[in-house]
Amino acid sequence: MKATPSPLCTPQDHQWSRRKILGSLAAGAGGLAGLLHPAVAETLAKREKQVLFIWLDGGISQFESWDPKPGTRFGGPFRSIPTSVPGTHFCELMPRTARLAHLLTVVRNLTTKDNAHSSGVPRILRGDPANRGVKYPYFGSAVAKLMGAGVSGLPPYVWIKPGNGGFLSENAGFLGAKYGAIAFGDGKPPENFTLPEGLATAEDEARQLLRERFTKSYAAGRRAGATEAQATVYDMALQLMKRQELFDTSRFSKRDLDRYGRSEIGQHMLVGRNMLEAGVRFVQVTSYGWDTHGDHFNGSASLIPKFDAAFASIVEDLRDRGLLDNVLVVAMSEFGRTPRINGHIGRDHYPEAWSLAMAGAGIARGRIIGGTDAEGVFVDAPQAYDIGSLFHTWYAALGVDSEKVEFMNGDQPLPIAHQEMAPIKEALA
Amino acid sequence: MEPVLQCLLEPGQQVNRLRFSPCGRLLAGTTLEGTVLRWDLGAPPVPDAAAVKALAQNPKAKVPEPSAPPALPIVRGHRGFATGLAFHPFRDLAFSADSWGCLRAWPCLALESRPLWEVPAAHDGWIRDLAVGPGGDWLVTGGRDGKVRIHDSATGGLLRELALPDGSEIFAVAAHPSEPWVVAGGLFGRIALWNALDGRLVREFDGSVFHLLHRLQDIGGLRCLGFADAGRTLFASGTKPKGGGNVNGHARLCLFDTASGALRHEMEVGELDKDIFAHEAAEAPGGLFLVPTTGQPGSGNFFGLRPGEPEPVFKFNKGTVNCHSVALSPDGLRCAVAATNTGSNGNGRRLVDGQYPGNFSPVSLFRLG
Repeated sequence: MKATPSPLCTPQDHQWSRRKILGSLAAGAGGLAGLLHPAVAETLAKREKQVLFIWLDGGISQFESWDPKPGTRFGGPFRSIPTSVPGTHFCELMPRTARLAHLLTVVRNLTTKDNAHSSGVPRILRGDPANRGVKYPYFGSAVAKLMGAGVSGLPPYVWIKPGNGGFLSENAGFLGAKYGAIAFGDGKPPENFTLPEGLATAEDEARQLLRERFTKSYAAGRRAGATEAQATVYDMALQLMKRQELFDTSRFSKRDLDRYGRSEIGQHMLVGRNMLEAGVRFVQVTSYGWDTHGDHFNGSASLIPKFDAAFASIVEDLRDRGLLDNVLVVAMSEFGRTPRINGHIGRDHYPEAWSLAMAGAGIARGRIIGGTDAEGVFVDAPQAYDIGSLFHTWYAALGVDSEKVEFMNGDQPLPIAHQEMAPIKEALA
Repeated sequence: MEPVLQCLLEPGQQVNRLRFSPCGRLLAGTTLEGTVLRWDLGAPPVPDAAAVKALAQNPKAKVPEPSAPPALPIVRGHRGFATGLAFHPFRDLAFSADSWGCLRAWPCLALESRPLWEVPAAHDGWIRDLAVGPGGDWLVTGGRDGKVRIHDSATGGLLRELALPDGSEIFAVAAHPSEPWVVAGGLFGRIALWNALDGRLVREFDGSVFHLLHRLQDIGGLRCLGFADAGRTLFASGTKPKGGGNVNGHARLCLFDTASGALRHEMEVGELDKDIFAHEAAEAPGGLFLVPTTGQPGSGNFFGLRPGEPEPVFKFNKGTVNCHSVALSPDGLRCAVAATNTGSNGNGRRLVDGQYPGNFSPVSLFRLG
């Protein structure tokens, strides 16, 4: 007889005690020895593809970054500067990134569909697939599902962001909650991250084993999703508790702090570097406050140099540490900003012709793809690319064949990227 | 004392700074397209285009008297934003600056105005403001590079270089009307006054109300510095920031005692989140401050404020949406306000007749009571 799903405990649940678990642990020591030594894990992680996804929430202006139009009607106040790619210029607000342009691919002919944040953010982060009646996963969740956590044993999808942290199961869409993002608010670890004083490690391990058994017992006969997600979150927390140093900002050198910048994004990027070096599969670093409808140019003068410092530093470090061939780096927003300068000296949302930058694993170096017309109003290239093409490109860069690999939603096979789009071949190494 | 609208000028560009020449004949404005627009207020007015059309159709048609002054040829040559604008007090000479760091002097009334001199790299990048000293011998500029520079007005040559104690970007400068003093304010709201002749720091003023660090963004809310009451008062206008990104806050006008540095009045201008920036202020006769504001789409007004009075003397918003500059004529009887066309904002690419439209600044010319 099939068990009836019930949210209540069963009598068997209460047959386990912490003392019993402790005893069994002592008898069979090494039950939790599945983890590799961090150094070994890190070495192995270097062979695995990873993602650093830098999200500038609200919409960085392509004019003040990747696609400047100095001296034109809508060009704004800033000059452009030459980059390390001959003939290519970036805005003067990004001098350090300009010197690394030979490591990047910049796509200047993006045309996407949504000019509102509320719908545009999820549309972009889900890759805007054709409507299949399901909620698609965010890119981070998709990578977590398709590529797994890897050998590090750490959560596959971490999100370093300003503000609150927590577990964001909704990012996973139909994949199920366990592929959600674990968010580190302000780059800090979750609350209650250290063992209570007086609790011995062995005792804690016994508690965890007890919890696992309860969970397994509770899950029997119930739908997998919620309990699986809960168990996953516990496991994530446990792994992270063993890696407290990942959050220890006091370990950052003065040189690193100076290079990355003592700004929010600089600090968070350094935490992101820790996560990548530890082998986390997908690291998202988010910066808020890029929706510059008002006082845009002074805002850009403050914001973009801070991005420049953090972005250039992480690319330099990944290169210098031999990780750039393995880590796909993407820097983008949900859209660009209007050419027209409004009455509040701002630029509004503009999905019609905008830019992003990427580097690293599988990505061509020193490549500028597409462009816009003299005033930056229209894409001036044979083809404009939508986000679906980018998803195909990223999967290709990570070694995932987006033409063949599919998600399974129950019995329903679903494409992992927009079926009518294809990778941007010139963006691939 | 409501201002009376005399005429409306409609240049095709967005105006940054408006100024009257000391003789009162010329009204000029720098633009976001690197140009300087000019109107000859001493020439016969130009008939309104609609009136010409009406008369062509019906010679007996009743049309208003022509009032708009003719525009002189546009002064070109600046790049990026043309920003600061000031006139020599005695000579037919204007000084203008831009966001690429160029400083120029040019004869202001000449039809084809070629620069008398030009310093292409007076600053490294964005010159945010300039002012001319009381005798016209020197001018002061302040830039995003954190420098305050004193230049010889005859040649553009650098006489002295100053910086705020915190080294921050400069947002506004002013010259005292009678003493050889310059004042500059920066990103973090520090305001310093120096002797321009020897570079000695005379005094500091606390403008920290104009700064906020919000998330990643240092919001520099200071926009304008100037002297009033024959130099006894230093005024500062801008915003008290509340949040970054789409910057919001509340427009402010602060009045300091020049001699002591003490803050005498901190005046909120208009409504929170609607009147966000007071980009400029000007002192009219009778101690009235003229303050235009910008804000969210469709917001922004033109205010008349008197220190110590709880309500504005006037609030004008007919055609004065999102105002960026105010200029007072030398006789104090007129003022000009640069606003923004309606519908200046909007997401996405909305084409008009297949073209992507830019915005422009209607300039209202007022008679003051």
